[in-house]
Amino acid sequence: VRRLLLLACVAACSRPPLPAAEAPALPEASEDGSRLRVSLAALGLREAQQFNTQPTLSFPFFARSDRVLTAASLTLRFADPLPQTGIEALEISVNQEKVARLPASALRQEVKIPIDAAIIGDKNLLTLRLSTDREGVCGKISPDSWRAIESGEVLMQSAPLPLPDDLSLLPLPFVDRHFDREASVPMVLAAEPSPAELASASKLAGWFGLDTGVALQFPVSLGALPDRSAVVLISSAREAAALGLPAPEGPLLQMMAHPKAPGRKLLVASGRTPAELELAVSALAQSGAAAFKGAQVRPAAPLPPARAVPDEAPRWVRAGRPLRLGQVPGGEALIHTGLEGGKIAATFRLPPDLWVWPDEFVDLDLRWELALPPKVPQPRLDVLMNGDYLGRLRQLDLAGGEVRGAEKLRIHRSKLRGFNELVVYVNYADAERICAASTARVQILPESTLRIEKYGAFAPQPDIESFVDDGFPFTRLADLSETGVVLSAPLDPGELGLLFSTLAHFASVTGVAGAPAFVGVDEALGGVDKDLLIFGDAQRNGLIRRWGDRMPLLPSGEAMILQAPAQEKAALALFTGGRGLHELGRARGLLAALQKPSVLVAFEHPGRPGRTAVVLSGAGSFAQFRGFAEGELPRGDLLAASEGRRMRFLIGPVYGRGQLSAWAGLRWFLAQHPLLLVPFLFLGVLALALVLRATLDERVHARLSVGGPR
Amino acid sequence: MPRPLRLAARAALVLAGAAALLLVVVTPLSLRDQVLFGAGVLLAALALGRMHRGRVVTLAMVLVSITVSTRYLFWRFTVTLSSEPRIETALGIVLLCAELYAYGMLLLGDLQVLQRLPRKPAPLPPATTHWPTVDVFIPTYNEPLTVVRATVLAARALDWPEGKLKVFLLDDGKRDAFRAFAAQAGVGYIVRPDNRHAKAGNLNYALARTKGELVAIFDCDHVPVRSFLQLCCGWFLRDRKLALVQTPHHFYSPDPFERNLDTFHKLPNEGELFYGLIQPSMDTWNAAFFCGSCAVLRRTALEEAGGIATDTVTEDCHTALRMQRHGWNTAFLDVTQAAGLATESLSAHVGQRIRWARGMAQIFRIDNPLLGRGLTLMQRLNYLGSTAHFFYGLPRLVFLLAPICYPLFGLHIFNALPLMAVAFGLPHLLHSTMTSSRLAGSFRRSFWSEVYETCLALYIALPTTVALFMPSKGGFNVTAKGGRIEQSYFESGIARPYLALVGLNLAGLLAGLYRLWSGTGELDVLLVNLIWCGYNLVILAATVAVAWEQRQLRESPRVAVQLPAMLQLAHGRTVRARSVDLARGGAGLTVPPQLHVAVGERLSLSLFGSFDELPLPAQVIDCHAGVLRLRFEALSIEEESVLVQAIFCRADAWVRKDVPAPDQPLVAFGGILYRGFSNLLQMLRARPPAPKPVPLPAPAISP
Repeated sequence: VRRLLLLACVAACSRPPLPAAEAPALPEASEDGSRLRVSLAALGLREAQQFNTQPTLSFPFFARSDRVLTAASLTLRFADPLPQTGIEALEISVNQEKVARLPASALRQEVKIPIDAAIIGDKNLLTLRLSTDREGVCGKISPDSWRAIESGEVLMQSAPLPLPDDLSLLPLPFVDRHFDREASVPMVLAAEPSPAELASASKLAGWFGLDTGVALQFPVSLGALPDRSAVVLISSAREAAALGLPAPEGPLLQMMAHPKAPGRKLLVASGRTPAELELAVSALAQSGAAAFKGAQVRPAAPLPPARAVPDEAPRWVRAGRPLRLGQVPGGEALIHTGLEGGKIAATFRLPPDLWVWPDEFVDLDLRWELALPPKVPQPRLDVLMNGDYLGRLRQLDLAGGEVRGAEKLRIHRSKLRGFNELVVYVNYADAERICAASTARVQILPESTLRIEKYGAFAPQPDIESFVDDGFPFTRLADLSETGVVLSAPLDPGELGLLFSTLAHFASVTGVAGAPAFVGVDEALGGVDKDLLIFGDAQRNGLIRRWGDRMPLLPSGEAMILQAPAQEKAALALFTGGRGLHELGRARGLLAALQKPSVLVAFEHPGRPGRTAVVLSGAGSFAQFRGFAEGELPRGDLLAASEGRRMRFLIGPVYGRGQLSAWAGLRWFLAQHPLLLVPFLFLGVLALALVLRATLDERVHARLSVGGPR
Repeated sequence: MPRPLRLAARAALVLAGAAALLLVVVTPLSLRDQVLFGAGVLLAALALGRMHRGRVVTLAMVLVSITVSTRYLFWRFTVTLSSEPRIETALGIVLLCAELYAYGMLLLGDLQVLQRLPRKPAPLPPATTHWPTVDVFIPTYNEPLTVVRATVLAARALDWPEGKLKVFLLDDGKRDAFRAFAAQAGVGYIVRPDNRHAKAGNLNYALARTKGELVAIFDCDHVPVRSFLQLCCGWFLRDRKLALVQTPHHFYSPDPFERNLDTFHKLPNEGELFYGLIQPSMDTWNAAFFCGSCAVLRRTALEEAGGIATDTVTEDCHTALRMQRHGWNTAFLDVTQAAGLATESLSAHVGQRIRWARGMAQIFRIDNPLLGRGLTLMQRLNYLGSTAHFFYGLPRLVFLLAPICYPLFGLHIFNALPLMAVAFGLPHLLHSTMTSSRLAGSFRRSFWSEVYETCLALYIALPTTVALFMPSKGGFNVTAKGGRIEQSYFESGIARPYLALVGLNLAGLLAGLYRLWSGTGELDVLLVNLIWCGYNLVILAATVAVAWEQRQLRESPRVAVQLPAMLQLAHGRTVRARSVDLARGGAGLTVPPQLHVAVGERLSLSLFGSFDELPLPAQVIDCHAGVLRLRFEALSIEEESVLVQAIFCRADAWVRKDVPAPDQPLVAFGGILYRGFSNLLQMLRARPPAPKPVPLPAPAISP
């Protein structure tokens, strides 16, 4: 509660996070792609308006690279009445071309301004300039002036732009990295794909995930080409013939025109055998599309991939040593310049099983530098980690031009996740009254250090939150070599789509496009010593049927059977304090309100203690599971998602993944079974009390005897 | 079981038990799990305590309490400390220091009272020729002769072979009336040329001029019973290394708490915990110490330790510590063999406690029991507990002020979620209260320590702190005894700081309620602080109520004494009677209902007991329904001696016959609540007269 209050205080006191000019935002697009809509809100209008005293606001925006604009317009809606700050006019420019100048009298509730489509390219800059009759020092305006604009949007009409057959354009035509926030990548597999082909498809989906970084859907077709651009995997001449495509002559990656849909493309990964297909896919996954030129390449055998190391991935900071902020992307230049409020942000990924427990806090040695022009007051600097308020940095002695400060902040362990964002809000009081000859600068120094060096690797499981956000424990080995996939039989395209979007997400987390150790439908695969992703429900997947009693929720066709999962050590459940029963009751009450939810169910692998099995049931992409989930506990073994709402529960037993010392392991075990501490306490006390009584009796006897001890 | 095997089994049990408790202390839990754990332990402890009253269960409950408190402290240190350079951090550290002190005292306190030593008097040899020679010292400075007379006459009547007992009146007041009385009573009278080192110097001067093997010391208002020496001296013959036998200080008049809160003979008084439990328990570890009076000391031990200690104003405890450093033993005999007058007013009481606190702080500083040679570990810890106890002033003030920080100033001095603080802190408080009630409930009711300590906290905080840094500062003050309070009055001089604390807590309470009403505060923080403020107000109300001094008209309180008696009426008729109560100035008797005597009639009263029978001249002041009330006329010294022996010197005079009711913490708290607020209401209704200047403790004598 206290932290929320502090956060609210910061929010109220701080300047806008950053002018939109420095934060390109992702716009929205209509379904058919012909109409592109970029709202100013998505570009950061609200943040830019707050306390802004500059007369100019700039918003970068993008158009799709694979479409050509035919018309464009800007719609602005204004406050009524306008702020009484002496506004005279609003001038609008796009890419430094003046589009319109609206006098104050024209700033009615909604104004639509046409923009010449010819001046709009892939990357654009929309500039708004307010002129007022009350300009302050250095041309600054009242911070309330920008509240004149309530909302606005750029609308663009477009037509498809024919793309050349060039592999280097990938991920176009499937994903425009700048424009798309989510995208669909149709995939075509053989009518009865082999496990090896499924593994190659998984790796290819992973490459799309790591290359684009956006939420992806993978609509899957088995044995047939869709009438739109698609990724096609072929592992034999027979499969190629079935699709009406040329027979492969070896490992090949090819961008080609869709034979049945004009203007559409096919990315074909092919080989005469599954091994050759795997070689073609691996070449793309290892080298990336930028390494290729032209319509096709015949990749040579790629270098054997380096053996994955647990808890290490290209996009993760390595544990076991202090994390200098200079090591994270952009960490050498965590700088805010100017007298406008703003924020400095550093993002980084930690291994999801970084084990801070039992410490409550991780130290952050934050060092910063201020370079302020004379007579400029020090800014207020507030630090947040993943939205949790850490504190306000102290004021420094500004004797010279540049001064440095250092402060130790504490981050609660629950606030450190796989993906982390450290933000420092910079706020100059009365900025509109300050006019400095030179520029003020605040820098978070690269030697700032997160003290994680003493923490090992361990993670309580199941942790559905960590699975959804970071793919843990499957991403523990980034190449997915410790992951197995068991699908329903017969194969279901929807399930395959969910599998591919899941693996694409994992790749975006780790930076490695890996292929699971196996992908199959055989129930016997459940016995293999791997972490398992299991797709489907009890009606279609034998493994789910077999392990159904271990799951807190058993999906079976339309039915969702909530249950207390069977446990090998059921007596221990009594010492958790009824946590599971409480959560089960909560789930019964809440899940009834969800319409046909998709569910994630995590539990301990019945035959392999410490390993995790996750059942994914439902249709759609993995993205539906991501985002805020309602829950009472920090972890969960059940996640249900429906219509944008997510609920999390922890019903079954908890286990650990990783190695702890005997002492730490015992403490952790007791922490999971708090009521066991009670008999522990009383047995310990009884043992000591018996010894104490005997000792005291002896002492009394000795004291009362002649010549007793002192 | 062979000893090595027994020791190995014990070591194994200790290791296993300690490991289990260590795990309990250091296992972190979430809020929900901590609440579950706390509730589970509390219920189990309650059930265990109800099922069995045995010692193993008591010891187990002590260990549970210590473990739960340690767990709380562990959490405080590992989770709630902030390093942000803010005022809240500084205040938070102050609060933590206060908690740490309280925790340390909890440990030492539990250790001190774990086991009472059931010491019984050791028999003396049949041949009195083997009995040691004893000098009885009665030091006095400014007390009235009426107070001292009884003590001297009682000392003279001690059962000890003639020629082996000498009584000395050590008069630092150098008063002729005392000299004359000593001569009349046939006791030694010693004065010295100066008053250096106050009581300690007085005793040392006498020591140098006497030569009894043993020395019995009585404050001049402590009247011994005749069996005192016979009960105490046996242990000196049995243990040749015994330096001291201390007996309880018993008071036959109410102290200010008992008088002003109306608890005399209803609740255990302030001293009962110390003499009833702490001293007998410290005796288990050979750490009982001299309390300045009602004790016998071996001269050779005193001489080896350099006489009575003069470096501190609690010469008694310090002398015992020194003797023990020289390898001498001490003993505490829990048989009341003397009785005295309690402090007559709150101001005198406070003055006395200031001296105790300063003296103990001086010992802590200049002769710290943890340091130096000659003590066992348990002796060090026991002495540490006794000396460090008096540093409670500042911590208690912190606890009285901490809950107002948030309601009044919005300062979060506890760097944790309030519910988490409650989940960890409440078990610590509940178990320590439960355990304390079980261990010491017969000797002090739950929560009464809060009242006693709160009342003194402000006054001892500064002296103890000063003593830490400047141990030679401050002098000895003599506690006033034997006075009267003619009229009830409000001791505003003492109460003023507490009224300020009441005001602050009340302001905190009101500010918190306003914040609750206006929604400008954090609900959970406010609730915790409001409850804390409310608790403080209850304790402070009782503290302020003590300052409402109730009148006390009798200079010499009546003592309930039931002895066969005979009245000889003026016309020669004798009547059998039985005493109900006796005082130095009069008596109450039951007589046949049909007896009619006129008010003012003169008669003589004979009392029959283990003393010489001598008729005492008296005058009737009331006779009604078989109860006769007499006032004694002027008595000769022999008559007075008989009366003193009848009142004070019977061997069983102070034997407690009633069994105290078991402590019930909630009832005890309710009692404090009731007494505090009802006294305050009474004060408000009575519109007390303007504060009356009351003599503060006697002026200090430079040591």
